[in-house]
Amino acid sequence: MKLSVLRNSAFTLAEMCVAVAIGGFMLAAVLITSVSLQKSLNAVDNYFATHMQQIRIVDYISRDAKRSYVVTSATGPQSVTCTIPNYIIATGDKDAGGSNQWVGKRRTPTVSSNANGYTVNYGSRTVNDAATTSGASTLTSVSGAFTASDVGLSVNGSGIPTGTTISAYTNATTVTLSKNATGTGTGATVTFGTASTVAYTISGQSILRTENGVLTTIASSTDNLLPDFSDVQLALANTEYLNTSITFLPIFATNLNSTQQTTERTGTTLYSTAYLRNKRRG
Amino acid sequence: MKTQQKQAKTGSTIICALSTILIISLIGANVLLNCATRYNASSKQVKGWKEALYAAEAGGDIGFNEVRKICSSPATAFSTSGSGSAPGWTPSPGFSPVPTPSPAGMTTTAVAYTSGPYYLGQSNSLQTSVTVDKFYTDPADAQDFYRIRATGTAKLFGIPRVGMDDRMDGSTRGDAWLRRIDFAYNRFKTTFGDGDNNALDPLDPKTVSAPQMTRRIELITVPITAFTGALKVTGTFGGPGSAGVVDSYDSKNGAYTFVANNPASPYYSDSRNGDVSVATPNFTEGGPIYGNVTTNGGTVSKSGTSISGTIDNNVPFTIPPLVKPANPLGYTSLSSGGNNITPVTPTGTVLIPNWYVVPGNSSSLTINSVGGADTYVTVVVNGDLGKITIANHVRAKIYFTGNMNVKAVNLVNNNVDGTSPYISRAGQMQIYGISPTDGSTQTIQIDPPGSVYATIYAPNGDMTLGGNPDWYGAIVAHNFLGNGNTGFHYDKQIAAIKGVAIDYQLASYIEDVR
Repeated sequence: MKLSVLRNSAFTLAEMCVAVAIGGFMLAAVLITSVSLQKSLNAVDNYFATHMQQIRIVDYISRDAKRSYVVTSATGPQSVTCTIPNYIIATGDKDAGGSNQWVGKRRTPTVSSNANGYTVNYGSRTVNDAATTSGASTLTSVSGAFTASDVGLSVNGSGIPTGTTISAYTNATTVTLSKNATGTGTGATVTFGTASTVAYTISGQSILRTENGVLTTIASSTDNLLPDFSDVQLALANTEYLNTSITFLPIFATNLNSTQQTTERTGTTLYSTAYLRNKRRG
Repeated sequence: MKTQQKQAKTGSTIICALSTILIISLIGANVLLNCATRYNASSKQVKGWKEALYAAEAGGDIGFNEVRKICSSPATAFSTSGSGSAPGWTPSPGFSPVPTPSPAGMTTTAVAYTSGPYYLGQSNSLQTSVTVDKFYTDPADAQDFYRIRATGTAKLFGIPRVGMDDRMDGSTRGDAWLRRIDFAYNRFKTTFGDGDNNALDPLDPKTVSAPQMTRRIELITVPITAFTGALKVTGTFGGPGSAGVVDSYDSKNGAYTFVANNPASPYYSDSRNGDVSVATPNFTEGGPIYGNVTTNGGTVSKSGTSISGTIDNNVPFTIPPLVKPANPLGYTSLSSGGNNITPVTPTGTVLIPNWYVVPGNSSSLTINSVGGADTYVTVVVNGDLGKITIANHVRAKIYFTGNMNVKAVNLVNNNVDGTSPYISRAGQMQIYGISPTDGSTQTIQIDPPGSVYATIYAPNGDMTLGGNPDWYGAIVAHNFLGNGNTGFHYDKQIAAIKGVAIDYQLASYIEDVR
């Protein structure tokens, strides 16, 4: 039985040329396809990653808004500022103890009442009816509900020098400041004690979160994330919520004009609404 | 037989094809791996993160519901037996919830109540535990404030991946930021102990059986007190009569005088807060009302009425029923009929008043002070309430379960307006109508002659002022009818007195974000 015939003849030149040409086209097609596929898959990866950043930013904002006393937003540029009570005692706080023995522990709130009901404060409280006179150390506030234990609390607000504290207690509506006021006015917003300020701002193409001036980078600057905040207060229900929408620019397509970019962004919009759990104070 | 080995000259083509497929597969696999990680993080972890907060807030609701029972069903509040699948509450006598120096004027408690874990959610993947403690009692008016600490935990489904990147730059995305996951160890317990850096019980496990996320919240509840307005009714309001008036005054300025039509008076602004709130559309008015009027669906307008303030016909509200307070240890039983009370020293305090119980109807109740000192008295009448006389310096709270039919002249309050620190004369005679358990109403009939300086909270009370009595203070009732030339004059100082707690509301929310 004869199984096969061995042929040792080579391709002709013409056959070689055709083969090389076909092979070249095939290789080019494979390379182009590979590159395109890689770009496409990279865009998918980027889409997932950036979408996750969207969600994380929303979660950050939601968490901060819910626990805030005051939330304000601004446009041009977009920003959100949250005033958050200090739940944990920190070094330097008035109630940290002489040897900082209470640092790191949860703070017990104080309760005060006025004609509008009860107010709960964690180490700080804000009034909107403070009156000061430039060059004088007396501060009055009808809603201040001051007590002798307020001595030592930091005081921050318009017309109050940095580093000012309450040096003496006079009565429920009057205290003495450690430094003379630099402004004269009534109806000023003044915070006694320390509260955290969390601010969301835009820097270039990046969304920044700062807590008491310390930066927390919550999103990559390369993803061209853009927020849109609106701060809504429902006066009747005495509640407030924060609407947020965040978009990003996918990289599926390049060389887009501005109209096309806007269209691309619109498809990525993530909406969020966070209700303040605390009664609005400002 | 001759055999010959075949030489495969076409094998390189297959190798090239396989290599191409391999390369493309590697690229695809890498992308899929990344996408799977992102998906895992963006769906499962986000889900767990949010649901952990839902669980914590569910725990907060459980605690809040229990706090509200203190007013609505005190006998069942913080029951140790539980109900159905819900666990009961465990008192913790040794609990020390206040590690910080107590703010001035505050008292703290050494007792907390703990309940849980409660399981809920998909396949019981969520659980919550809650602790409630009375962290503060206001020494000025004996109001209690409760703190609720709730922990919510969600199991983390999907890939328990630890390898995600915390960096944030051009190629990394800070995947594990914000949402902290307990993979094998409870990060919070191992780092912060009980939350105040106190070491936990050595037997309390620091490990977790499955990856999870935990969030913690703290809520503060404050009391809703009885007297939050001038005149509030949940049923029908009729009055005053054409010759009557509803207005207000501030007893810090002394006794009432009518100045609501005299802008030149220094007390003019205090005279126009005689607000009337009606929880139904049923409002009729004969005489002038110097204050605001609200109804729920009414058609009240300025036309045809004499209302000085604003009118809003879209203000619904409810008034909680009042349950009979539990008698404290050491209370004194009186007899039905007439009683003349002179507390034995001590005079009592806001927190611990002298407590008396009348087993049946009270035809006459006289309360004397102890040597002219401020004397705190609470009387519970298990029947109808008749004549009342309280001496100057007596701070009386009088509960009754039946009806009240008395002449105004026989409700005698000998306190004096404007006497610091108990400024309001009306606020020293607080009358509370205990809501019948069957939902029926009480009859409260005040007849002429005379005037009354008192506050009354009777959510099931149908109250009638007949003839010409004037009522100074505040009124909360089911129905109110003031005919003839009866007058109602709200004392603005009542807002500071508040009255007893009738419910609780949440006043503060904070999350422990450590």
